Amino acid sequence: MLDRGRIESLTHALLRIIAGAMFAAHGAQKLLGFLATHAGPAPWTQMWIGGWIELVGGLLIAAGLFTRPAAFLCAGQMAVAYFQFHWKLQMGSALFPLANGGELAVVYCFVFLMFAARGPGILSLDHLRGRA
Amino acid sequence: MVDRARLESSLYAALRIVAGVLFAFHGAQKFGLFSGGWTADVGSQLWVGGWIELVGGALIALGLFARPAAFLCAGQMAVAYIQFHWKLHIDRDLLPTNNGGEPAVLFCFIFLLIAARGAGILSLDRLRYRNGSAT
Repeated sequence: MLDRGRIESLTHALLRIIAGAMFAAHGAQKLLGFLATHAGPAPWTQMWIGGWIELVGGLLIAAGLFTRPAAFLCAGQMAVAYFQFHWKLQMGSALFPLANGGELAVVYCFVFLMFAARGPGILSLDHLRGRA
Repeated sequence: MVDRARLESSLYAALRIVAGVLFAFHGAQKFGLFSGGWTADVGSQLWVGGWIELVGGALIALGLFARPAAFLCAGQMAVAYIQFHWKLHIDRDLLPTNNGGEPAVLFCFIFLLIAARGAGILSLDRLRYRNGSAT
């Protein structure tokens, strides 16, 4: 029933679903005003495009559909976001995610990179499709 | 060529190390690092949390006793999320993005994964296995 391998697969699936869902929530806040705390970006701005990547990418990752390319794209978006909005190539204490506010971007980036390499795993639509 | 399995193992190690280091920084912050002079009162819940984060994060990053360290840190994040972020709200603050608990949730599930999977490559636990000691 619940052996070590199955528990490991379950924890991968849980991380994938939760990370994807929270990521999609970011996009939903920007684009749909879903539980938003302030107004969203204007259409066709960089933030707006980022919002679409987050919403669609996050949902694909959570559902485990086309997981590898979606995760790779979202990881790339987080890398760009980190460099552009947080680190900004500053030296000194701004080097550290804890100081420049980019911690979430870094963590999402590495989570999604791992899933891009690993693939969706169990509890995913890709799995039902035969792990394409 | 890099084969897929090796790539996946390397990226898992990268996630483990990055998450561990960032978590340890959080612990250090409770003792004055990047905190604008603030420190947690000695013996308070936050202070205990700081030690769990600092030591646990370092162990996870090194991949030393990674499973129990990760399990403890995941539990701490679950407590932190419910106690300091969600607080059982049913409104806008249901969303981790709004209640500030998003890192707590992410770290919790990353560490649960590490607790289940183990340290993997690039870890001191790996050296312990080679010398014959069990986990």
